[in-house]
Amino acid sequence: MFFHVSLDHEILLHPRYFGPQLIKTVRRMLFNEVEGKCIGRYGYVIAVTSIDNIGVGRIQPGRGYVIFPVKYHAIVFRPFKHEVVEAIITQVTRMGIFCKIGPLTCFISRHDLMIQPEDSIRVKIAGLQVDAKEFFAVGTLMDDYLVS
Amino acid sequence: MSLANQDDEDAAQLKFPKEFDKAEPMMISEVLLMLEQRRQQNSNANGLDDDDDEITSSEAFNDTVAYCERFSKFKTKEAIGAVRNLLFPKDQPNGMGSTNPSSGLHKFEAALLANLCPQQAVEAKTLIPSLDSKLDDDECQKIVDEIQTYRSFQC
Repeated sequence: MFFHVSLDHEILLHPRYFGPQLIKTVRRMLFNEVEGKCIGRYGYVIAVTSIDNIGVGRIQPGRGYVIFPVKYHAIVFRPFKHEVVEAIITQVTRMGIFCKIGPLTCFISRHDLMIQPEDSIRVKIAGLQVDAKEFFAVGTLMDDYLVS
Repeated sequence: MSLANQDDEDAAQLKFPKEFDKAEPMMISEVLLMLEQRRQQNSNANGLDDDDDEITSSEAFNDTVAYCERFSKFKTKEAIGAVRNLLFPKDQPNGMGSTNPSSGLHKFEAALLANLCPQQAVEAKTLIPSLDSKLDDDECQKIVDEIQTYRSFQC
């Protein structure tokens, strides 16, 4: 499921950027640093929709770098256990099927379907594994109204 | 870092981690609308000044656009607005902490209904088990039919 959420991020800025373009640089760095990343329990940040507040920068003692706290809104994608979603098949192997749900890869164990890459399928998320950079999902087709 | 920390979430029982109390579920069609707008902004900005300001779209962004294009059920702004009015009546941007008093639907359920577009009440209740205790089959069928109507009357 996609969500619109409010998030925080800290931008670490090198002193060479201190100038008239400062705020513009902070904005650009926010886009480049958070978009497309998977952050902890919030899931994948797909797109920043608005920057609500750029806080006062704090100079780091002894380094010259400045940290700017930024508050922003973004569209995130976060899968949940037992959620039913539609997916695009990417790969069919003898072990099972791999499919994509937006940025998320999902594996479905052995099956007897006549199916090929680029087909659409409806799956239920059976389990999720989260690590720092990525989610990985295992799907199931064992319920009514799944598959097509 | 394993499945252990997943115990507090279960979409079938509407149990979500507390980080999502204030999150607003979105329909796939709405996501597509916003992403397309965003893509246009990017190409405009990158066309105007060609210094190092370029914001490149990430792989996740492109994957999501492709996904949304495939599964977006409502193509026009009018249809999206109508479905939102039906499923999220008098919506308050207060996150997922509460159910909507006028429809009785949780926002997560409402967005799932719009994303999956089930055709029968039984189908809807199988895909979204938490609906079972909230709506009887007739009420559920009415909502499902109405969504289908909005889906077929768009060009």
